[in-house]
Amino acid sequence: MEPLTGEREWIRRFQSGDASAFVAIMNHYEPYILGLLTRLAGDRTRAEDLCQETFLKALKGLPSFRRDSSLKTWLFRIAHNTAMDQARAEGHENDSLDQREESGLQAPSNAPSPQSRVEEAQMQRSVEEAMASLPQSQREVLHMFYWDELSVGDIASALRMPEGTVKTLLFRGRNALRGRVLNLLPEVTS
Amino acid sequence: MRCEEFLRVLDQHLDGDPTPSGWSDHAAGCPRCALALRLERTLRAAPRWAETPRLQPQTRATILRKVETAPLFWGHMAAMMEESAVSALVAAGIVAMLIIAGPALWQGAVPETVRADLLPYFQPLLNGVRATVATFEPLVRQGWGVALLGFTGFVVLFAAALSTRALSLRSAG
Repeated sequence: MEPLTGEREWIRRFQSGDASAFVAIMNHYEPYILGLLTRLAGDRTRAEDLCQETFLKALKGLPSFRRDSSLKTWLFRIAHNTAMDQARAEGHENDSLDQREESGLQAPSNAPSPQSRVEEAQMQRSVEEAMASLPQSQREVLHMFYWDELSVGDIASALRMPEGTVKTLLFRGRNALRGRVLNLLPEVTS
Repeated sequence: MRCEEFLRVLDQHLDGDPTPSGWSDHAAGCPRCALALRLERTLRAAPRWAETPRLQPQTRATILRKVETAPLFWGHMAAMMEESAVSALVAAGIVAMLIIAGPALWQGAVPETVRADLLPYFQPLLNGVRATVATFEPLVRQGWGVALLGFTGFVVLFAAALSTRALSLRSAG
C-alpha cells in the first residue's frame, strides 16, 4: 500500500476545519477500504454502503484522532467493525460461503508470453474464487496481508488481536487457499 | 525433500524465518509444490493484478455532501474540550489528594533529617502556599465556599489543559 504523502499535515488541516483534507484522505484510502469491504461483504453494492458508513464514521471520529496513531490501521479498524456490525445485524457473522461477484482481473504487465498470461489469469481467477470460500477471518487477514500489503503488526493493530493470532490465521488461510486452488486447477497437478 | 517438508519450509520462509539453501529445488519436480510456489507469487503480486475499486459517483457524492455540512471546527473543539476536561479532572484529583494527604505524607514518609535538610529550600514555597490558603479561609468556612473553590480550580485547570493542547497542536503542525 502506498503511504499517503503528508498524512499528518492532512490530518492537521482537517482538524483545523479544512474539509478538502478529508477528501484527500478518502481518495487515498478508498480503494483499499472498498477492496477489503467487497471481500468481506461478497457483494459490491453492500460493500459500497459499508464503505460510505466507514467514511462517515471516520468523518465523525477524525476530529479526536490522535496524530501519533496510524491513520491506516484506524481506518481499517473502522471498516472491520462496520462490516462485523452489519454481519451481526444480518445474523450471518460466520458466513463463509457467500457469493462474490466476478472481479475484472487485469493481466500482469510483465507477463512474458500469451500462454503465461492465460495461466496467470487462470491462477488469479482461482485465487479470487478460492478466497470467496474461505472463512471470513482468514479471508480478511489474507486480503489485508497480500492485497493491501499491511504488515502482521498493522493487521493486529487494526483488528485488535495479538500478532500470534494474525500469524495463525495467515497460516491456516494459506493452507486452505492452497487446497482450494489445487481443486480448482486440477490440470496443473495431473 | 518431501512435499510436507517443502511446505513447512515455505511457510517458515513466508514468516521471515531463515530457510536452507536449495529448498525450492523440490518444486521443480513436484507439480503440487510448484503450484504452492506459484500461488504465493500470485498472492504477492495481488496489488498489481487485482482491480482497483472506486466508489460509485452517487455514493461519493453522498459522502462529500456530509463532509461539506459537517461542523468540522466545532467537532474538533468538542473533542479537545472533552480531553481537556478529563485532564483537568485528573489534575484536580491529584491536587486535592496532595492538599489532603500531602502534609501527613511529608511527616510520615520523609525522615526527620531529610526534612530538616530540605526545609530551607521549600520554606519560601510553603510560606507562599500558606499565605494563599489563608486568603481562602473565610471562603472555606461558608457552606458553598468549598464548591465554589473546587469549581474555580477545575475551570483554571481546564483552561490550562485546553491552552496546552491547542499550543502543542500548533507547534506540532
